[in-house]
Amino acid sequence: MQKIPLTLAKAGMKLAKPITKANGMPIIAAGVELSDALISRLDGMGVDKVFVVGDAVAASQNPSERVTRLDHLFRRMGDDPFMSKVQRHLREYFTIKAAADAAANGKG
Amino acid sequence: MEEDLKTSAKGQILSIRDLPTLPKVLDEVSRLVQNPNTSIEAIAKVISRDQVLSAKVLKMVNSPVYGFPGRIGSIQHSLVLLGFNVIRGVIISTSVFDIMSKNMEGLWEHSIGCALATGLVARKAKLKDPEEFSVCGLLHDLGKVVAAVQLPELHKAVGEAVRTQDLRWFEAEKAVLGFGHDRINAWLAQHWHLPPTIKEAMSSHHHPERAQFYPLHAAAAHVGDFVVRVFEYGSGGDDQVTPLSEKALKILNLSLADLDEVFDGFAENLGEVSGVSFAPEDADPGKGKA
Repeated sequence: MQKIPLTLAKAGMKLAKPITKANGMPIIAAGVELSDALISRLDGMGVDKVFVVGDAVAASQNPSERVTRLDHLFRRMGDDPFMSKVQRHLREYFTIKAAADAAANGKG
Repeated sequence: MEEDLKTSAKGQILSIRDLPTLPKVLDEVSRLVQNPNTSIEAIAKVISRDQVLSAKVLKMVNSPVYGFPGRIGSIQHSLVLLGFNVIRGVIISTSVFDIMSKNMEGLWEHSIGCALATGLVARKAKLKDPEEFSVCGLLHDLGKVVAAVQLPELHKAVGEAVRTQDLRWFEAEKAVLGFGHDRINAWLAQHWHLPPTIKEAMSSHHHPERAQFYPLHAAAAHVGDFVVRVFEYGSGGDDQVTPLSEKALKILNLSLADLDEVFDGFAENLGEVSGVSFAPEDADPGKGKA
């Protein structure tokens, strides 16, 4: 479970905790999948953070997860030669880490 | 009309009246420090009087961010090991983030992650007093917190621009406000009399090559910010990396390959660092306001 600002909520994420009014009355139950419409409705209601399924720390530490996120993170870097080089370097770094993890898990 | 908005936004941010108040002990301690005859013991005594604050400071300095995990038992010891500038930075960060802990947890995580990364960068670059660099990372986005408090409506508009135009937070600030948190940082650092090293890191972390006096501090915080964004720990308000300045690496005399050790250290220590929180212990359970 991770708590994220609504600005980072995406359609397809699942609520890990219900969204409640200030008095505790639930408006949307846990387990509901977010949609674009729902996100903008929440925004309209003044909700600024949500708990969604997933683990921020684990996702940050997981190298294969990092590899899959690089294109997204670098999406606005265009064809800047240095940033392309940086991205290639990171891809290689996390790919090797992921392979090492997989090998270790295989043995253990 | 647009110019009017920018002028009034600036005025609002800079209005001292509504600025987060820092703990009284900080004023007292700042006065003490100006006297060269003041002993560390006397400073420690003043800080220790505020027990909640002391507990938070000790929790922070014992986190892996500073590299002495679990060994610092007293404020006095922390002052000896880390120096007053570091402790002051920690106190300021706890006070400012306290106000926002309810709805800006992502920014807190981003900041503490950046503190960890910036400290690792400083160690890799063999810089003196790496703890002071960690504080630069910790405080690098303080202006975002203050902007959110002082200008809630515009803060919302910046978030909206990030979402709809796929901008980075810094770009959206400039589009909506006409200036970024780097400018707010410079003013806050001035207002709170932060050391010039920390001030320059706060105001130049987006353009370390333009740092005038302390390029090492600005460059380390810049690289730290990039690293925490690569790992997507917490959130600086958007989900993109910042353009990494090649010049920043040159200033630090580091190559891209040198950063691998920083990435290793970051991934290794993140679990523990993530336990350092300033949110109230009863942390509210998933309540959005409605």
